[in-house]
Amino acid sequence: MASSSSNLISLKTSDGTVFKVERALAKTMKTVQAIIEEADANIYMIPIHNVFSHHMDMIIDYYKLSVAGKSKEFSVEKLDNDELKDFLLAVHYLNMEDLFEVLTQAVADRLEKKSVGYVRKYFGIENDFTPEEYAAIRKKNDWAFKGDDIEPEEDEEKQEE
Amino acid sequence: MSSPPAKLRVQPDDESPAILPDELITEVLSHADVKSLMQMRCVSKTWDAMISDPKFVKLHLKRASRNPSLTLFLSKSRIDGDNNVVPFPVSCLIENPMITLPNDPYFRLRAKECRYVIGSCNGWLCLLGYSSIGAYRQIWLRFWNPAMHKMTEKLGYIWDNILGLYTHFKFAFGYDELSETYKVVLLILDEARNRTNVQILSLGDDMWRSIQSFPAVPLPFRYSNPGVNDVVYLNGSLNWLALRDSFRSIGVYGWKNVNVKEFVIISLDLGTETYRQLMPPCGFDEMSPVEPSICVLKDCLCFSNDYKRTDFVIWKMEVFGVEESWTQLFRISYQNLQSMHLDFVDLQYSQWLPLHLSDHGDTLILANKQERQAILYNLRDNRAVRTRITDDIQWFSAKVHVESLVSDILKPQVHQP
Repeated sequence: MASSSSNLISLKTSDGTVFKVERALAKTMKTVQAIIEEADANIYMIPIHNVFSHHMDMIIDYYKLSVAGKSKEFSVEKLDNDELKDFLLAVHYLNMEDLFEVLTQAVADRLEKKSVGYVRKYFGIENDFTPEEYAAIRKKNDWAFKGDDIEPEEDEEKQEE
Repeated sequence: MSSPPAKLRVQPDDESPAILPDELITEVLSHADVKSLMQMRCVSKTWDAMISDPKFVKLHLKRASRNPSLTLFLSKSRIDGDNNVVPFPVSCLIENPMITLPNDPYFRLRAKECRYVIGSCNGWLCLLGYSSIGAYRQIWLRFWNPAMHKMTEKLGYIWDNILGLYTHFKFAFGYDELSETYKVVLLILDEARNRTNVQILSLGDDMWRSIQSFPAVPLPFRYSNPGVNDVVYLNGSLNWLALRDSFRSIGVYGWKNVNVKEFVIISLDLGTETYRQLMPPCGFDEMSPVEPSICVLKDCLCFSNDYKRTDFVIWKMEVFGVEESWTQLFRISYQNLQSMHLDFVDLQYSQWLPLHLSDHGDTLILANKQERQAILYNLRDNRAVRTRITDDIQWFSAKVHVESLVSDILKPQVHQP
């Protein structure tokens, strides 16, 4: 049950980089914490699958900001949508509550005002409505499609071409 | 909640970016706003079912409650007397923009045949309207979820004399979690008989029904507009500040003659429809010319009072129902509120009502009744800043409100033969 007696925990990312992180930071990763607690002997190195070094960089950034009470300053603006998804999956794997909240909100924010086609593509969802069914449900919720800055539907765009 | 079957997924054309598993999709969507979610119902049949699923609605509501709005009650035109109610996010209010609210017809009450907002619960606003016929008034209620563009018919009709609405009726709106029923409570003050009758309307029922009469005298009991915040909804109960014993006439400066021990908080459990009495904090031991009040901050019942006309004190009941758990939350000196430059009002006699306390506990939104102003009070550096919305807003009627996906609040009677 005893883990490393030092205050640093070694985490090895999928791309082979070793990060030595403070025990307090490792504690925010419930997955890692569980591994530490389960180990009988000292843990030398904990592999973290699905987590790359660029993810760890951002995780450490977030941790430093939140310790300083500045977690609101953390931004994922520079990540494109796929990078954001990847990061979300990494944080989900590590089971980090606060950062997970931040990232799910960030993804939700990016989907605001995007077309239905865009959302389908982003999540890889197939449209299983018949054209009649789609027209009906679209009509029922028509008010939600009105307003500023809403991207036109992909098919509408194609028609204009 | 069942997750959508994996077979409905397609791999994107380009080199595969990650596909989020179902539980992550649910988490992401629970953070989305209502309008976007209504659009996303068109993504697929599964998504339509998921977004309408009561469990998802509950999850979304829980998240939305962390990002509430205040319903700003105002009149854009003094001529036609139409009232507007505009939900305004607290996070935006705290940024304190200098703006004028748009005069959007969507937020006008007259077109909905209503005049006042009684309360807000789970994203639904309880509106009140009336029409006068000779010496009588017909009063009704109507329920509106602005985010979902859903509104009920007029219901809960009541007849009374023309002044009743302003002199002896008090409406309150809440939700009973156990029976999943929304309820409206009406207090009818009867000064002549020294009694307050109480009626309840469960939404979905046709008729009002009487319950046990109110065990005290609710405050304030004269001349308050419907929709002024005089009742507090908290976790399935409605709570009023009241005075024990008989009715009496309390003028503006007459409060000093009231004994502090006469104050009581009456809490009506919306499930059992029974009352309990809660004592105000024992630290409130001296009366002042200014009326105390109750409110909810950070999901706790709070009590506010003036202290010796030098400070405004807010107490918090840490554990609901446990009188020993009253603790002093803030004591704000009127000196610190003076930065508002109120020339014509003696600040120590004006009434303050806390509206909201920010997440990290550093900004308190306070409404001033006499000045019809609200201020943002920074608790770290004790500085007060007036809100800069240019409209004349009745801040004492502002309700805490959330956007919700709850689409139906008229519960059909389950046990009808």
